[in-house]
Amino acid sequence: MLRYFILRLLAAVPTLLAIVTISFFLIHAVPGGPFDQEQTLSTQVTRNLDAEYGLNQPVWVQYTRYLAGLMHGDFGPSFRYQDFSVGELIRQGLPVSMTLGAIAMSLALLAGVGIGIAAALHRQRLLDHAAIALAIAGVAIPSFVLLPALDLFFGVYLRWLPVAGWEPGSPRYFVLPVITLCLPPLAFIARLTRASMIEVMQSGYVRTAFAKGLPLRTIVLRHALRPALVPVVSYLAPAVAMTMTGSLVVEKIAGLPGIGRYLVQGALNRDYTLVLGMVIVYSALLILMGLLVDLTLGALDPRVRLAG
Amino acid sequence: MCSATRCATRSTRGTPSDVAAILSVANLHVTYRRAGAHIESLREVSLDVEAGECVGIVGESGSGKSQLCLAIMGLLPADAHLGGSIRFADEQWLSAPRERLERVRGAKLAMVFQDPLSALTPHLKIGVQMGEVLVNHRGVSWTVARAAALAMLSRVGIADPARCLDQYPHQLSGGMRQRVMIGMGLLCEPQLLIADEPTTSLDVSVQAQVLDLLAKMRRDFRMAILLVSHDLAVVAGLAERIIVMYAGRVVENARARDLFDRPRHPYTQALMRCAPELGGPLLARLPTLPGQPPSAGERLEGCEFAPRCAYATEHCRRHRPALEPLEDGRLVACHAARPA
Amino acid sequence: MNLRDPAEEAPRAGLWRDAGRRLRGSRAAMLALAVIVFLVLLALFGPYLNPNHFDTIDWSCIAMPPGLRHAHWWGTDRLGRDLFVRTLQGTRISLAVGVIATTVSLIVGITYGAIAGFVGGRVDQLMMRLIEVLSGLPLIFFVILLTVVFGRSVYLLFMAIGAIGWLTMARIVRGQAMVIRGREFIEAAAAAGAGPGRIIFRHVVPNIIGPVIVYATLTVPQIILFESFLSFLGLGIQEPQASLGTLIASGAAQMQSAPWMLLVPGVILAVLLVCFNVLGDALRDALDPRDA
Repeated sequence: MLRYFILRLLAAVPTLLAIVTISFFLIHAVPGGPFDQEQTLSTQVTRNLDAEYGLNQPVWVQYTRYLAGLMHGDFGPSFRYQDFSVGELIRQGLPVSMTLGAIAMSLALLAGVGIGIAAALHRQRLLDHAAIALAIAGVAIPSFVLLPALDLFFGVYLRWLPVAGWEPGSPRYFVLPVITLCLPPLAFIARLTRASMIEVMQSGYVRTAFAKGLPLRTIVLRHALRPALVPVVSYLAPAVAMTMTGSLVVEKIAGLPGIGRYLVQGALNRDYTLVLGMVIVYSALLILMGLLVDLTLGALDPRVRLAG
Repeated sequence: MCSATRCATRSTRGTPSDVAAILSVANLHVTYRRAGAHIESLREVSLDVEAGECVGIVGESGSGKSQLCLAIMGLLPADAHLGGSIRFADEQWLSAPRERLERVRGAKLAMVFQDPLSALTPHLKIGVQMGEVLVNHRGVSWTVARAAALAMLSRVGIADPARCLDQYPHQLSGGMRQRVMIGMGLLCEPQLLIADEPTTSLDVSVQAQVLDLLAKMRRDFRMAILLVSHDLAVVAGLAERIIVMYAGRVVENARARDLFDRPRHPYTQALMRCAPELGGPLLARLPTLPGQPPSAGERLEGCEFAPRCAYATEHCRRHRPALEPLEDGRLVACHAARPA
Repeated sequence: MNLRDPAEEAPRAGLWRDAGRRLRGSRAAMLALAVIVFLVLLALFGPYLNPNHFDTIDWSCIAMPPGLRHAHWWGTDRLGRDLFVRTLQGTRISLAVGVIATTVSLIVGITYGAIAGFVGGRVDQLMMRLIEVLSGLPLIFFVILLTVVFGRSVYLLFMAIGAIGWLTMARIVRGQAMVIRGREFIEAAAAAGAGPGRIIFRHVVPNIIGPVIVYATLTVPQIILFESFLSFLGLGIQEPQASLGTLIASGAAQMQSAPWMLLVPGVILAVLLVCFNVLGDALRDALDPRDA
């Protein structure tokens, strides 16, 4: 098991390297640089800045330098947040984003699986129809419509919760962003769970479990749940990607100091190193998630358990 | 009508009436309404199983054998409409509340399914799947249940029972899995074991072993067995009485000896011709009789077997023969089997 | 010479008839289709029903709520621009972007998948390996990278999105192509001297129309959502042009004083997405009755 984990971790290195390389050259293929928008700067100053950040050197020199820096965990300086390195910005924002994302994902998983099971066991009844409606809503109401709408209702009209902002340690600021962020994956997970649960409940071994006289609760929890979770777990990596995407918008609307805004700001400002750093962080998180998913799948089904 | 059939069944079997039937099915109908059509999977099925008796049920696939088993177990899908009555251990079973069904299923009434690989939960060890039966029904601890499971595994002929307890279903051979299934059914010493095609998915060499095991377990536990197969040869060695089903109906119900000596229903005769020699090599696929049984949605006015029957007359096609006793006590649903 | 096996043809025609019947039997799908057609027509011709122009500033009507008493039926924004015209203009751009990107991804995906599935062997292995690698990458972040590259040209940007979004299509088509490849009428065509290109486009492509329609119906809303998302973040359509995303973004900023600025484009977007998804699901069920 440990050997497999390490092998998989090593296999992720070339993928990550490919991502870094493609992103790096893509961004450097574009005419224009981070300091173009600073109209006040004279040509000489721009040239000095370019020299200081190494932008006047051939691309492959910049690339090898960047890679060398990455080895030491150095993402380079940010071009726009000039007193900060990209690493510092990430270290500041990541805890907020990770907390937000982790809460949203857990909620989506727990509620989604619960709703899916309940809907599967009450097919064609009110609860089932409500779950299907929720699934459609999750697909169709984008986060950038939902969060302002929730803000409008709970923040402006009811005044129960703050519209936006952030105070460390105050969960009130998290409530609406978390709801917004978890709805799309929640809806999808509920839909997946419902479909796979319906299928598993018709399987031969669930029939055997009924024939053994086990109560429904035991049958669902002990016999049906684990196989029914397989598609849900396989979906977790895309769900994390979905949550990351959502967090870009949610952090912007809710004014949370996470890393989501850096990606957008970086793209708008052509802050190469910042965008690159963000793409690398997000990719690494996704790759790690994929690895966790594979390990969990092995735990769910002994038949796919890998050599050990 | 329903009680009349039952009385007829009872009185004509020539057994002392004080031997109580452990299972008594009377005039059972199972209907589904799908895509606007009524589909009847069982029609007017009546049969009794006495305590300790082994009854064989034979018929082609689609004749309603599995539906009958599931109906007795109370495991038919939710959209099945049931009519008639099923009594198990002198208890009205069809209308019993769910809690009651759960108490009896797996304890007094157990079932072995056709394909033990798909009938065992893939992610649970054998020890858990067997143990939970005792934990659930007897309220014993997992340790006790595990010990009982271990003992049962060696009784059903598993060579290394301790190792088997900690294995997953996919790690066992087909024969071992079926032994586990049988052992799992016997844990609470049931009064009736329903075995639905217990040998069909197994290798030819293993089939006989599993049948021997069933016979041995039946002696040891003094339980009744309802043995279902499409193959007369499978049922022949074990069953005292054989019920032949066709298109959701019972067409012949006779003592095994009488049936093999002289099958009276043309369908039974056809089955006998198709069956391989007893004791000979068991064929994987039987040579089937020509034609198709009527589909479950079809409703024929006359005898359902008439379209495939060599003896069918215009009378057969118009009037369905009732399941009635012959002089030797067997029940047959055929106009030709009776003197006009 | 008729290369099609008639036995092959007959059930397919039946399949389409059945699918059509199942689809017409679904009230939700028919309603969704009607709404989509209505919205498309409205987006195309609606702006001409109203005297206002999408970037004309009406200083007499700043942030006016919706109503039929005045010329601004769906209200105006904080610059006095008419929301009816702007929203429909935005819907038009969103739909156009969705269709363009989907078309690009269809063309790339079908060609790639058909070649991989039809040629088979080592070529297939190599091509599928590439897909595997690409689908492991977080494409969303690459698209944001691409916005840096294509910055001002939105249509180029969405052609680029389409060019990355073809992976699923290629997989579907490859699977179908492999199934079809083994069939007799393809062998007959090959024996009759038809080249691989001809076989792919005459025989393989017609067989994958079903999955393609389903995929396209479900991809269009995804791209529309994506475009709105990028535009909302300021990475897509630029002022004074409007898309549903930019309208929602400015609406969200004004929601306390002028909630209709958020609600009008938000509702249109949500309705559009629901209808495309419902229609796509129904199409999938209709063409593949196993899942129904």
